[in-house]
Amino acid sequence: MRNRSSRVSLAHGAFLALLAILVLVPLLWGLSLAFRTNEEIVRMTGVSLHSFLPERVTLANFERLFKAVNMLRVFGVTLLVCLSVTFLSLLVNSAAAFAFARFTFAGRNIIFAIVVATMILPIEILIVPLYRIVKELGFMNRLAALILPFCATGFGIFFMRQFMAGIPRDLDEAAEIDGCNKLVVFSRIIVPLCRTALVTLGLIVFLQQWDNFLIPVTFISKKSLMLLQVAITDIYSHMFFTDTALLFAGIFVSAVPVIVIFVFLQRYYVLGITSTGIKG
Amino acid sequence: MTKLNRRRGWIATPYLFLGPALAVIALFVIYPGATMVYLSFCKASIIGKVSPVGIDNYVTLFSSREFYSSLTASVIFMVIVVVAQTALALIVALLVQSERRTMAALRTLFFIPVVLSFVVVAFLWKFLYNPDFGLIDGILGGLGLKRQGFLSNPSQALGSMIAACIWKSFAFFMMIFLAGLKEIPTELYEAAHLDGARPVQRVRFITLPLLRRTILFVVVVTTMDSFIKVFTPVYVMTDGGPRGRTDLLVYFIWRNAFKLGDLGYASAIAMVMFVFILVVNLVQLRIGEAPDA
Repeated sequence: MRNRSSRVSLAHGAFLALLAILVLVPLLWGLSLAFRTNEEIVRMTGVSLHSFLPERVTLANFERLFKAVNMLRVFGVTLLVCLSVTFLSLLVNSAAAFAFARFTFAGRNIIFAIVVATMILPIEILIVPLYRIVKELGFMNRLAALILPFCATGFGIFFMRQFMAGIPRDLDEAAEIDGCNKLVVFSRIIVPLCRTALVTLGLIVFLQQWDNFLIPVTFISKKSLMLLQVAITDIYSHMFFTDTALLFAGIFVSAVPVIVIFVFLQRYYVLGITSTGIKG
Repeated sequence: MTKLNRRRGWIATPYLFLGPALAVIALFVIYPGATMVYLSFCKASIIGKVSPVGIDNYVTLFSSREFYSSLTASVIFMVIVVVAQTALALIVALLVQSERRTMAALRTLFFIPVVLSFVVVAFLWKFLYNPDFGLIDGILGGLGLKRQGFLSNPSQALGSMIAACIWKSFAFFMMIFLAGLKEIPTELYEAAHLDGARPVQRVRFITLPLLRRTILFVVVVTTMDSFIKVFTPVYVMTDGGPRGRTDLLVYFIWRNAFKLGDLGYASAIAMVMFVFILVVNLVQLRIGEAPDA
């Protein structure tokens, strides 16, 4: 019996160790490319310790990167878009959620059902008609095309409503008896109580926007408005030869901020995932 | 008088809170949805001329070999990811659920690919598969094995892309399973242990039945994701090649719309894709929620 269970846990351990290697090794290998010269990269045909540690560490790729691409502007535009979408979507979604959670009005249930049902229409499927609408609105090559479509989502409204429905009504009723109007109740009582949910949703939205690729690559062709993910593919497609070192320097610079954000806000992010899982 | 005013305010207020959200959803989801239906029955080029042509786009579509090959690739991709990724996520969740520090560290490690952007992961794997200096062929060479083509080999490209996508996403679903596992009362395991149930039996008779709703959720979400959220890996890794083997539907739509400029035809593909995924999801929910599935 004892033997059996120790054999089982040995197998578990071996499996997890293998998986950890499979996750870690590609990351380390990619990371090392950012610190090598191209001459060194093309010589990496076998495997050795040097597959993971550069023979000679160089920072020249980063210098070339910041010369070739206006990284400061790329980061600035990307952050502007991600933060605007995050802020606006939190505001718009929670206002709508407040209406669903705290009012009875004509058509409430049907409107809520329609809003939730829009979750089955992802942007990938709507990209063609969306293109025509963005064009009609004159949003091509404008940041509005990247921001406005994401300011309200079925998921965001549903998520916030579920959270607000769990807040006892006593507080807002007391405030209303004291003469507060609904706007005050919303901004002074409900929003502060939703802090956890707002941070969670904000993090989900921010990372989604950070990862967003289809929309910027379709609606933005102007270099000065290029977002980070598109800028990376742009480095690649404008290479005269395969400048792997430069590409991976770009990847390194773009990946590090998200990993840092994740490490600090892991708790909220995981909370967000798990609450969607349970409530789904 | 004041009472009446308050009542009137009462009636309009919810719509004020709702207004911005409804405007955005109407303009960017519902209106495009309706436009898509209309466009799919039109000849519409990217330059802007739209004229109704009845079911022409659908006739072309259903007689196009390219479409069937794209649909096949998408379905293969979806089935393999749903089965393999869900199984992997569940197994790993079962193994790392303890509170020990090593397990917490492993959970964080496995989660790093989830927070990386898809562009980054797609490029990373594109180069890992590189036939000249990629690590994977390097390892195969080092073991004295034949180097493979991976992304450039028509029979391996789709599988190679699937592996990269599972590498990126499995830990996301591992987290969902971990949350589901936390909901299972520990007394059940203790009772089973006293009755002499072995670990495998405990998983089979306690964990799996009680995790059914979570498994259903994961399967439905993964089905949708693996069918629809796959534009970036195709764009970055293969451009739909070699020989169309990785030309997944979302990319097929995008290519027809924005490279070939045929918005009507692209809308028809999107319509078919939408109906297909809707039916698959409904069937899954039906099976998953049946009393003794």
